[in-house]
Order: sequence, then C-alpha cells, then structure tokens
Amino acid sequence: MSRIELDKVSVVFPASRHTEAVTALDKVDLLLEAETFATVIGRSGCGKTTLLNLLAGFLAPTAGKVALDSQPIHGPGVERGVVFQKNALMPWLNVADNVALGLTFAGMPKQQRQDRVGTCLDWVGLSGFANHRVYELSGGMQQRVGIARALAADPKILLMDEPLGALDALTRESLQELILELWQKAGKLVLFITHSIEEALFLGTRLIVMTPRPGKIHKTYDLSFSKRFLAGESARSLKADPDFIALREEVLEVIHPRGGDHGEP
Amino acid sequence: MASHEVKDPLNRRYSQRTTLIISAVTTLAMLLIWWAATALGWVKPLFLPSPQTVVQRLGDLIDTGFADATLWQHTLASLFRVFSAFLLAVLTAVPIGILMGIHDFAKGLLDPVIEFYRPLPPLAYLPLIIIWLGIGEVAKVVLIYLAMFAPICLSTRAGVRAVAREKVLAAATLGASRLQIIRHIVLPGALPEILTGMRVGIGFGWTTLVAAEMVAATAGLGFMVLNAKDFLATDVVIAGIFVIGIVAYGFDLIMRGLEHWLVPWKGR
Repeated sequence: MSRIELDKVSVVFPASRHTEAVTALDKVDLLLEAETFATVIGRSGCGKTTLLNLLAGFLAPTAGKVALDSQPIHGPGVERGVVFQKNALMPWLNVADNVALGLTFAGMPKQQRQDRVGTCLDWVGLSGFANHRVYELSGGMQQRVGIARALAADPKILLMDEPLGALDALTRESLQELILELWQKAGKLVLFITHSIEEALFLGTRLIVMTPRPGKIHKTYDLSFSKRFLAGESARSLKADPDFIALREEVLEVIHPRGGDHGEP
Repeated sequence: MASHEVKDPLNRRYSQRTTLIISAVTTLAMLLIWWAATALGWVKPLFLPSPQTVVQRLGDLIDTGFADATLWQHTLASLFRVFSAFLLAVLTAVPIGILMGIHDFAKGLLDPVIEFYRPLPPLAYLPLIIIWLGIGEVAKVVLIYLAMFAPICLSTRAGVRAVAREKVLAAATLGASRLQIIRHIVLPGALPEILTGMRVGIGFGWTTLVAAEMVAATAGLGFMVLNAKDFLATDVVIAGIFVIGIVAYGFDLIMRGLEHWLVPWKGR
C-alpha cells in the first residue's frame, strides 16, 4: 500500500540572466493513497511536470517535504517507475533488452529475466516483438515498450509524463484503455500528467487541476469514469455521459477561461 | 521517377546510377587529359610522366621497390605508424572525451589545452616533438597520435552531450549506478559520434603521415614520395600519391562499413 505525501512543497527556479525567478510550485499539499490513479492537468507552467520530477527524484524541493511511504525522496529510485513522453528507449537494444534494462542493472539471472520480460511484453500486447528494433516500431508500440520496461522493474508507483502526448488520436485511445487494464491488473498507484482534459477525466480516479503563476493545485476531483470503464461500459458512451461533459466544461473553464488570455492550454 | 512522388524543392533526388555514370566520365576525362598532355608532348616527362610510365613504375615498386624497400614494406611501415597512433588515440581520447562530456571540471581543465593545439598544423609543432622525443619511431607515432586525438576526443564529448536526458534519467529510475549509466547508456548513445570522430581522426592521421615521415625515416609511403622528389623521380611521386589516396579511401570505406554495422540506428 503505497502513499505519496507532499507537505507544503515549493519549488523556485532562481532568476538567470534571461529569465526572472519562477515559482513552479507554491506550498503544495497533496496526499495520494493506495491504488489511486491520479491525473494531473493544467496549462503550461502550472508545475505539473515539476510535480512529477519531484516524485521521480529528478528535482529536490526548495522547501517542504516529499515522501513515499513516509520515506523522504532523494534522487531517482527503482520503487518509482517513470514512463516518458519520448526519447527514453535505447535504440541500440532490441525490444526485449529495453524491457529487461532495469533487471539487467539489478543483476537478475538471464532465465529469470527472460521470463519476466516475456510476461511484461505479454501485458502490453507485444509478445511477438521481443527481437524487433525499437526504432522500427510505431510511436504507440514504442510507448508500450516504455510501459513494459517500467512495469518489469516492479515499482511501487508509476509516474507517467504525458506518455500519450505524441500519439495520434486512435492510438491514444487504445493505449488509454490498455493503461487502465494494466492499472487494474498491477494495482499500483499511478500519477499521470496530461494536456488532454478528456484523457484526464477518463483515466483518473483522482483529478488534480493545477493553475500557473505560481504553480498551485486549484482543485481535486474524485472520479469514477475509469472504474465504470473497467466494469464494462464503453469508452465512447462514458465520454458522451452528461456528467463527463459537465465536468469537462468545468475544468476547461479553470484552465482555459473564456475571455481570459489565450495561452496554450 | 514515379510521377506521384513529391518533388523536392532542392531537386535532391538523383538516381544513384546517374551519379555513378557522371563520376566515371569525370575520371575517364581526367585520365584522358593526362594521357594527351604527355603523349602530345604538352608537358615534359620530368614534370608529368605518362600514365603508362606511372603504371609501369608501380609494377617496379611492387617487385623491386624504391629506396631499399618494396611498396609493401613502405605501405606496412606507414600503416604500422598510423594504426599504432590510432589505437593509442582511441584508448585515450574516448575515455577523456566521456569524462569531459559528463564532468564540467574535466571539461574546464582540458578544453583550453585541446582547443589551443587542435587548430595548429602538425608541421608547426613537429620541431618541438623532435627536440623532446628525438627522431625515432616514437616521435612519428606521437605526431600522428596528436593529429588524431583532438577530433576523436571532441566528437566523443559532443556525443556524450547529445545523449537524450530522458535516456539517462530513465536508466537512473531503473536503478542504474553511475558506472552502469556510463557503460550501458552514455557509451552506446555516444557511439555514432565516436565513430564519426574515429573516421575524421584516421583521415587527419593519414594526412599527417607525410609530415611525420619527413624526418629520419627509412621506410614509409610519405618517406618514399619525399625521397623520390630528391631524385626527381616524378613517376614514383605520382605512384606514391595514388597509393596514399587509395589506402585513405580504403580506410574510409572500412569506417563507413563499421558505422553501418555498429550503429544502424544512427539518426533514427
């Protein structure tokens, strides 16, 4: 049972010659427990990637405490898996060796490693692709490899940084469904950053809406669309549900107010 | 060209066959002009011997040699120098380049040294190397080594810097130690640039060969050409130039083959 805690966390990037100091996160409190699927949304500069970088250990807070299971986070670690948007697969390794990377680092024996890799490739629907070169795969399949690689190391929590952001709409939808099925199977705490409101509403059990300057959590919502999907409702009917649409408009109003400045969402 | 293909605004679509034919015609034309210039007596044989003479001379060089060594011995002497220098350069420049790529201290320490000597023509510091190391084999190898070191080192550094941040971070979240990151991520990630540096380096080294063999050599292609000049044996000079050119082209083909084989993912 994993538990993420942020206690009055601030991140300030100091001024440089060309930029002013930026408060990427301003005294943020957050508590995420057990099998939550948390989706984070907000326009550019709201600190959502900073939030993920803190949890991944790529960044230390300027003030406040970040902890996983009451252990403060210092640097990256295997108990926190990360799926990146792009560029994170190793083109000199084939699909299986990419998935096995964490196991190789840990010195797992070959036979055991192969079994584990086989299982993980099976989960993401890439069983027949073990020996393929990653750069010959489509963008969607590459992301499946990235997800399998993160799962293979069996982390406590999974951090996903706009993993579907570079994919076309159809591939994106099929991967959303795959991610939900894997989440149900693996039962891990997930933090998922996205630019897409529909994606955030559909996937999350907990939606975190953030606003910029300074980066803050504006509001959080408890959602049930993903659970309804896993219980058998179709993705299309869920996304057409009046509750879904009403919530989408409400969140849209926060992150992209009509009549306000029209920065990117 | 199929009519449904999109036309490149720069017209960069040549068929490989057309290019090959143009190249063949250029080569033949050059040989023909050479032949005509000598056969029709435009140029004295002392300045430009005929192609036949050069080919004949090449045969002699293989059979009986020049300056107390056959063509093979000259070639082997040069290859030995270049490859000793190359081996040394790869063994030192790659680790140092990696260190400079991941460590600002190493970069700050070594940058001024490399950036200062890199643009110097090897002939400019050859006298210093002779004063320090004498006129033996070591001085020759060191001169070639220095010419190779900078391009290999700087390409390696650039390659290390070019490894995507996400790859290094991903490895760290998968539990990699610092050494594992260097071994499994940085080194293979920088390999395309390292190989490019090796290719450039071997070219530089081969270019420096003649300078290295100017002093107190008894064999070597550069020595052979320089020695032939002293006897006004123009045919040997030209034959030597051809051999030097062909070997250089051979190196390039080998390095390109290596690239194709080792980093098929380059640029993907």
